[in-house]
Amino acid sequence: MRIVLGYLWRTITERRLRSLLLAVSVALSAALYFASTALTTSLAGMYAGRLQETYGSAEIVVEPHPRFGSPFLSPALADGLREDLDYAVGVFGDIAYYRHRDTTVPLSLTAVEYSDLQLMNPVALAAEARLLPFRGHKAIISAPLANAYDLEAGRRITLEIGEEIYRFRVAGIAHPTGMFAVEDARHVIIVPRDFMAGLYQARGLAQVLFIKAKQGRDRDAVIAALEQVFRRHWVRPSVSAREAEEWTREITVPLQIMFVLVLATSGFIIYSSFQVITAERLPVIGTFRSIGATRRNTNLVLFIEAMLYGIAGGAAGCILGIAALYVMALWTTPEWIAADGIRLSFTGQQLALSFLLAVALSLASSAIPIIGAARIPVKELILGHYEAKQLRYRLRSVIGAALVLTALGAPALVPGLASAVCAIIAGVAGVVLLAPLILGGAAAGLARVAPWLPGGIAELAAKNIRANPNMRNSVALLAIGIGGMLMINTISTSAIAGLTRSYRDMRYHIEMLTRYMDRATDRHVRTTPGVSDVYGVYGALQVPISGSREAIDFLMGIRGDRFGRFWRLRGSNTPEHLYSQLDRGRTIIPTYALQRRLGLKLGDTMTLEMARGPRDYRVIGFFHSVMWSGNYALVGERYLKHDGLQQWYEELYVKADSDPSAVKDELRKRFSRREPWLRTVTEMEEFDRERNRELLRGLEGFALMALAIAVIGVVNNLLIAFIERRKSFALLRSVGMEQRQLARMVLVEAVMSGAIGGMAGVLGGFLLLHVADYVIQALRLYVEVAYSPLLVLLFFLVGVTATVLASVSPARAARRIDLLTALKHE
Amino acid sequence: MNNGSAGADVIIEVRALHKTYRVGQWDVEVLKGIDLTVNRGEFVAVMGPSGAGKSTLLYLVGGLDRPTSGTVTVKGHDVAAMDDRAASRLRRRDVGFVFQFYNLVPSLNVEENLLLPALLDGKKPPDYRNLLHEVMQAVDLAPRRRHTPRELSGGEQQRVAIGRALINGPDIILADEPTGNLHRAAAADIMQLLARINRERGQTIILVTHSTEAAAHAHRVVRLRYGSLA
Repeated sequence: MRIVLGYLWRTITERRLRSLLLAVSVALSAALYFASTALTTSLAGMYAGRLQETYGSAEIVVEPHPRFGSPFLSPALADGLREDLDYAVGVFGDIAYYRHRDTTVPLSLTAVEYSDLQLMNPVALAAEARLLPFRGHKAIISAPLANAYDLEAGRRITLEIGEEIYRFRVAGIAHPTGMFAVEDARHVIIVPRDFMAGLYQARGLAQVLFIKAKQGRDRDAVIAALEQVFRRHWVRPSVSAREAEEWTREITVPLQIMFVLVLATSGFIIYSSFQVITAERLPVIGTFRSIGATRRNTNLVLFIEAMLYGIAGGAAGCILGIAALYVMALWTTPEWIAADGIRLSFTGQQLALSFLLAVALSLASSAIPIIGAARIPVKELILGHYEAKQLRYRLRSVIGAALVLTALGAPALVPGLASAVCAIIAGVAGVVLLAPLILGGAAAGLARVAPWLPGGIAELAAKNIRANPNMRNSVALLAIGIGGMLMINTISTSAIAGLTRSYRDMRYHIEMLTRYMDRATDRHVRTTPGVSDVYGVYGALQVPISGSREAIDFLMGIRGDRFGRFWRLRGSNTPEHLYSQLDRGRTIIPTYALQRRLGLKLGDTMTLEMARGPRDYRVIGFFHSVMWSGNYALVGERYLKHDGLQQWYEELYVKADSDPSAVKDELRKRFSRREPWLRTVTEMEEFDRERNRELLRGLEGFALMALAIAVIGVVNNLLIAFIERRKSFALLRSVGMEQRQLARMVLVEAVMSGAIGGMAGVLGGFLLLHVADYVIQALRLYVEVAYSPLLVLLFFLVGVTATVLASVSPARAARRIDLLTALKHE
Repeated sequence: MNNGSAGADVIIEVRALHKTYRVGQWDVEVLKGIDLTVNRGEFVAVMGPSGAGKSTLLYLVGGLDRPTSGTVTVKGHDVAAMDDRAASRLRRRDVGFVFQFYNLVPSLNVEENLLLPALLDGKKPPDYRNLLHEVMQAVDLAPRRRHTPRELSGGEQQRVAIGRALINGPDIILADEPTGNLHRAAAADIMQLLARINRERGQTIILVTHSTEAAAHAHRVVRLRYGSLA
């Protein structure tokens, strides 16, 4: 064994560049696998952690249902289930304003019994003054608020709640933990529940009920039991694992797709490198076999070598993966979740799986060349009369074409994320198998044109690349690398272009959101200097569609006579006269994204679960939009108000006749007490653009990695090709080829194979884009994929440039070949 | 000194040719002051034991290597003074090489291998179409034109190598043990082909060989022993 390991060590270190490339390829796959799986855990963990800061240990939330009018519920209804529950804590919430000299500071107010608070989400007090009994005009504030306004325990503060002024005594100052940790929007204040119950005239009631089931009780069963008791309320889990998983899916699934691409690239590099490794080792294998080694013995040596690359790559991949996870989490975690900083969470099992994947990838990718070498009869090995056995050209092409067709057709026939991801794998494998066909066809075409080009070199170059297996490998690698980059960049530019188009459709300048917006608010805004027009829209969030598990994220109620002045909608069936039809009956205009997802046609009826119950709406048109990820629809204002029990505007659109930023500031001043959310359209566009860019930057990073290892693979192939062709080069020199001509021939070969690789990459990119469209749909996202000729040209040129740069070193080496040594070497 | 007949048209002239190689820490003098004149249309066989310097002499005449001292003049041009471009042109147009191990490009078929020097010389299909036909007839390989080297026998491969040496119509063919890797019948076939080329096309041939049977086809035999003419 010591001799075998020594032999392996020498062979690995003799070809340092190749060994490094193999280990790096394996490491990248392991790193990406780890990062994509651990990112799900980390994001879901941060998401759940953030929500738990609000809910504490509560597992179930009961809220009033808007359909049943009353904003309150009775905690006593849960008494019947006491045996199943640890606690059921009733809470009120509102906005309070702290008056400090000339300023008014909005505070997030929670009213709860102190004992209940300590049960559910304990606070840690830094200071207190006659805290208990926690009744009447007492308040617990956060340490940051106390520091900001120089408040101490025992001091009195003035709060405005519901337009009335109250004096409270600071009974406690809390460390920023639990509820007080969530202070990124506004400071938190806790007051006794009896105070707010008195204010709302809701003694014995609460706005929300937080519940924890007893240890060992099945949460879903408890929820079902609570639903029987709270029939007119909404019972839901406080932090749903599924919700967290769904939320993280749109970030992690694209990463997993990139992982498939990197895995395919790495696997192919290992496969092609092991073809060369086994070919190099055949004489030694012949010698071993001739002195009594079995096939199993010689296979074992090669598999140990593959395993060593897997172990080295796996170890490096785990370290690289942790770094990649941090970078990805930094790029993809939304600000509201990352407010306390990025918290990575991964398990030892995930690390172990990534390591095992690296070893398995290395062993599986090298298996075909190793087993192929083992099949060569020992006599042929000793006499040197062997040829590398490859899958027959025709069979290979047929399987490749079948896989490509599967990739094209499967996602449409079998909808769903799993089918789309399988289609991507089939597409990548198909392109790899078709690489020789693409190379052969393109090289034959070039060979016809080349004789008419000057120098005679082009014809020779075309003939050389046609049958060269290393060129086939280069074309396959470029096809995967460039295809991946083209796919990600096309989606990225399409998403940003879609956003830009959607923002161009807005004919207003400022969007305003605040609570209780009505016609009076509209009039108030209208009188603000710089405001030329105002339009308030009604909207309902998360409207379920009957007979499906889908919901419309935002249902907008519009008035036909006004909406067109504030929005321009694009779509073949949405001329603006359709808006007026919305006023005349229960009709609806969904987005094209919804049309595709739900298979809608003009004239179809959609039954929506409105606050007043199910209502039928007839589809009269469709429009393009990426807002709300394309998941929204328009109905008539009067129907939304009636069916959805809508009293208040959801949003106000403001047209400005002077600088929108200045008008926005003016509005903020004027409505400061109502703490409005105000953004200019330009700001919103920039924000969305940046958010998209951040997410896509991460994906582009991994696509770039796939391309980088593909290019390293191409360099490796060209170097191998150079070593294998050293004698051919010498003989060309012997029949009169000049050094310059030889270098030029190597470069022309690179240009041609790069062009063919670029072309295959572009075709691969189109194929991946076709499949990616289904992945996007499965993720409930919406991107109008627009093919950019400029991007296609760019990535075609990337293929050519990468191959030409990779060929510089072999071309220089070709000039320096020692002719006689190369010719005599047999 | 071993010269051709006086007054004839001299095509190759070698004077005081020395070649020394460095092997490890030793200098090995392979050629020790060779003088040789070859006339146009002559068929010269160079014989001698292994390591006598036969192949080295051939490579120096063909511009594949440079002498340590002395001169090699081919068609009146000093080969040693040629730069890479001129030496390459010499090998393309004036000299055709035939090697013991054929040295064909395995990925190219017979026709493509034959055409290599023509392509390197910048010839276009109308220029080389007739040449190709002529050479294909001369080496009798027309039925095998689409075959790759691995699909041919050793003798056929050597005929391809000879055809490749002929394609640009050079005045000189330099053959380095062309029958060394062939069985008896194939070797006889190749030697008859070279003799016919010399007789019918008037091309000058220098043949390096161990075989007296092969050397029998030559007009003149020169013998090398330890780097000197015997």
